[in-house]
Amino acid sequence: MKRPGTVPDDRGAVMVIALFLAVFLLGLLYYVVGTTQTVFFREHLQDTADGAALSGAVMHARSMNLIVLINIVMAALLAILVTIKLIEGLAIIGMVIAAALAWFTGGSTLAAIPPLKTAQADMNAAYQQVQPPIFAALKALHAASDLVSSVAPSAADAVVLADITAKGQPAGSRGIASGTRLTLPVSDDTFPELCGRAGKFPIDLAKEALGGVPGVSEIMGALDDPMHDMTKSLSEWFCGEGDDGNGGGKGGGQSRPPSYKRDEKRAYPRMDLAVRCENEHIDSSGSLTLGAGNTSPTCEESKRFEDAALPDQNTGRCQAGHDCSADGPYEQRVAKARLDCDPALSPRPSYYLYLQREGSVPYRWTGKLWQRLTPTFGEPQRRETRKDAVSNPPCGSKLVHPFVAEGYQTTVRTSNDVTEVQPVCSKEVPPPAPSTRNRPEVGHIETVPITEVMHILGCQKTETITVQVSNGKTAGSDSSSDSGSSSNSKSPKRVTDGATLGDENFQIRALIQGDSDTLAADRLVQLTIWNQEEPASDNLHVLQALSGYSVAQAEYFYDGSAARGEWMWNMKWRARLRRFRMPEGEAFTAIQTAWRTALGSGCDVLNTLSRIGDLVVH
Amino acid sequence: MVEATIVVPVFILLLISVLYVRDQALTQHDLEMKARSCAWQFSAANCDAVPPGCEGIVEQSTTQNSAGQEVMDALQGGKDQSVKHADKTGVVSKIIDSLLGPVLQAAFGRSLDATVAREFERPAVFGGKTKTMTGRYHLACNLTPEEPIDVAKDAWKLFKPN
Repeated sequence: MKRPGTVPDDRGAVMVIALFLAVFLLGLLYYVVGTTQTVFFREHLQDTADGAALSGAVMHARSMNLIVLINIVMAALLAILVTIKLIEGLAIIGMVIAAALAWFTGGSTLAAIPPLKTAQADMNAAYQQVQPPIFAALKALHAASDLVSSVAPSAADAVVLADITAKGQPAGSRGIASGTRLTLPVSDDTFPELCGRAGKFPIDLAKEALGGVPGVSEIMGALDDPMHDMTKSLSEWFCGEGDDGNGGGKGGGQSRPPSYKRDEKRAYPRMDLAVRCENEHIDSSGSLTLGAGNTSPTCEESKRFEDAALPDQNTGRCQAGHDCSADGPYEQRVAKARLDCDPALSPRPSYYLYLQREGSVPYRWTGKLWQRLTPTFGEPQRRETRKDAVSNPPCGSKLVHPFVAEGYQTTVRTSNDVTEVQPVCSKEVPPPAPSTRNRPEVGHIETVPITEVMHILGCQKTETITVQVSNGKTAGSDSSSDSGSSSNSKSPKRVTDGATLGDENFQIRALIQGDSDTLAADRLVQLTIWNQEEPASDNLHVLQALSGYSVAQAEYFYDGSAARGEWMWNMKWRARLRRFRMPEGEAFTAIQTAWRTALGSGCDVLNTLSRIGDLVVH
Repeated sequence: MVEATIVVPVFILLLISVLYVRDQALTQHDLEMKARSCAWQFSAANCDAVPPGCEGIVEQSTTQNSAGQEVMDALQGGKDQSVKHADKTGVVSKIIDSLLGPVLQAAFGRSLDATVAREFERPAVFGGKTKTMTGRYHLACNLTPEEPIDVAKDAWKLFKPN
């Protein structure tokens, strides 16, 4: 017989296990949601990058087709002169033949000479009449193709940027699609070549008109090349003078180099070395003559300095192993950033990257007032303002609505001690003076929170710059370097010497940045390492740094099998997506500069990307 | 027995939740795949012919890109500046505008939007009803080779000497 109270009571035991299981399943559900969210985040980011790269390449291809069109229109206009000259030439030949036959025919063929003479005179008069407006049109078209060549890359950047902002996913993404060139890879061809092309036009049009007549197509086809060669070699007679030396002359008037304005986002600080590097590549007209990359000693030095000065991508502090002394590159950079990113300057920065630390300040009651004691701070954190809109600065005067505190200290430190930093601004509210009734005891300590913006790491400003386009030698154009171009203000364009389809000249790379900090999966990981230091793995940091980025590559190309000489005479330029490849040499520098400029100096994805091969095996 | 009445429904609810999240993710993935596929096919055809199976999904984007307009203005300004001194009669400007104008208009901002929507049923335990899920894709229209002979003919027609 069992005594009461000894019977084991196991009611509710399952409940405990079930509770643990339920929590576990709930965590699992949260994990599934987080994983799904991360997968979609990565997919959207990659879609936006693919779209941006293709969009950039399409813009370039369209611009190439536009230049092809301008070339064709130029040839078509010049074909009018060629046709008139052709008729005039036939009249002259007719007169010569009539005169020669007169000896055999007893002078009867001489009767044909006066009407032929009239026809020749009429054609000559017509030629003189139409030549000035045609030459003026050629000059205008030449200037237009110069303009397209120099505007297209920056236009592509602007269009892609606007597209990303308006349609990019996830919302709030930002990015850039850029090539390695400042202009399209075209340069001036020769005027005789244009004249040769114009010579083919009457044949092509006749072929088109008489296409139904048997045998005509073949005959006309056979005349195509001889006509091209003849008009090219006799271009001075058929098409008039090629070059007028100073851009004026018979064509009437001058074709003045046009200029245009564009808004450009620039990252700051701009160190003196970087400015000197850029100045080395600006010609007397103010045009950038930078091609695929900067290779001068100053630019190389600037690149080395930038690499040494770049803050750590995760912490925003001086990178381990770099020179972090008071006059080292990092400290020079943060000092310059304070000056360049002062919100009182115009234009005002629209985006800030800064280092913030939080802590507490003890105050001791002396009996009369609160005495401030030495504050204690936590680890400084890298912060940034919103990327998708113009943001208020963290520090500045009341007029700019600073969101951390008012004031802007432009001097980093007064001594050589690296640890003594004068914050840019600081927010701290001292304890209120106690009333006479509630006076604390002498020595009582009251603690208040403090927030300090330690350093401005960088900022971004939108500046309006004027780009001057010079005839045939636009910003970054290779016209001057092409051999035997004998260019003039009426010449067509050709693909620049040295550019081969598929090479770096035709590649567009896109970088898209999304805000991965809000992902549930990340929060779950943070939850699991509650109050613990993150593992100090260098590889982990590389992967973390790349989690919010996607890259893609596209190219524009001539979709045909025609010889190189035909590429700028057929509207067959298209775009296609390519597998992303790391740029090398000068291209690496050019892309890195473009990405840094567009997405802020703290973003050095390309260097990080180049290390991905150490971590992932395809 | 009492525990079972609490535990079993909770576990069933959790299971339904997992299945719901899975179905939703798969549907979303499916919609986006469809939008992506249609967008790339439509783009490859220069946004001229709607690919089979993509009817009502893809359409040319009608939003005017402000950056494209800026480029147009810059080109127009450059052209005006170039011909100002040479073109007293205005004939040169007429030629360039007539020939290049439409091309310039088309050159910037031609893009497409692909949108796929599907009704997704919520489990009855979460209130039932349906939820509209959408997959979207935005892409630039690619180019198709064009024959320039028509352009040349137009040039001849336009230019009539006095």
